[in-house]
Amino acid sequence: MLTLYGMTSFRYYIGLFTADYVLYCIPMSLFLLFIEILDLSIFKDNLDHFSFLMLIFGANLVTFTYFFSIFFSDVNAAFKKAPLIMLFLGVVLPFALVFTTIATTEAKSDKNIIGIEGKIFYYFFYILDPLFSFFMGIVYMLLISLN
Amino acid sequence: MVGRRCLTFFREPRQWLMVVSPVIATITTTLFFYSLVNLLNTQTTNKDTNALTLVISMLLPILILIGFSTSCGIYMLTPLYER
Repeated sequence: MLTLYGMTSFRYYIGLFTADYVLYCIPMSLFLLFIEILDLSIFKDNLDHFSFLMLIFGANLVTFTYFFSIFFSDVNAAFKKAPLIMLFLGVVLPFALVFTTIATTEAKSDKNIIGIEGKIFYYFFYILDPLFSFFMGIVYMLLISLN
Repeated sequence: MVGRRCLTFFREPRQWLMVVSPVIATITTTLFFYSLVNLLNTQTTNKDTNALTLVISMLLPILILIGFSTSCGIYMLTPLYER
C-alpha cells in the first residue's frame, strides 16, 4: 500500500528502524536506572562501556528481528513462535555449541583453549548472532573489571 | 513512518507490556535473589551483600538476553502487518 504512495523500501525500513530503536531505548534506560538503583558496582564502574554495548546491541537486535520476520507470514504465529525460536537460536543453541566444544576440546596450550571447531562456532555466532556477541561483550567487560 | 509506528505502539497495550517485559523479568529475578539471602540469613553482613551483588552481576547478562529474546517479537509486528 505504501509503495503505491511512493514510499521506497529503504525509507520505510529507515523510518521503522528509527521508531523501533526509540522503543528499544525505553527498556535500555530502565536497565541503566536499575543498575544505578541496585548499585551493581561492576556495571556501575563500567557504565559507559555497558551503555555503548546496549546501544549497539539495540541496533543489531532490531535489524536481526527484521531479517527474522521474513520467515513468518502470519502476525499471530510470529508473535507466539518468534520468542521461542529467538530464545533457542539466539541463546540456547550458540551457547550449547560453543561451550560444549570448549568442554570437549583438549587444551593444547593456554592460547588455544577453544580448539578449531570451537573457534568456527564462536566466530560464526559472534558475527551473526547479536544476542551471543552482546553476551560475550558483557562477559569480557566483567572479566576485565574483575581482574 | 516514525509517527505511524509510534501511533501503532500507543494504540496497543500489549506492546507496552512487551517493551518493559525484559526489565520486569530481570527486576523480579534479582529481587527474588535478594529476598532469598535476606530470608535465609538473619544477620546479613557486608560480605554477603557483596557476594550477592557479584552473583547478580554474573546473572544479569543472561537475564537481559532472555528478556530481550522473548520480547523481540514486538519489532517484527509492523513489517508483518504491512506486508
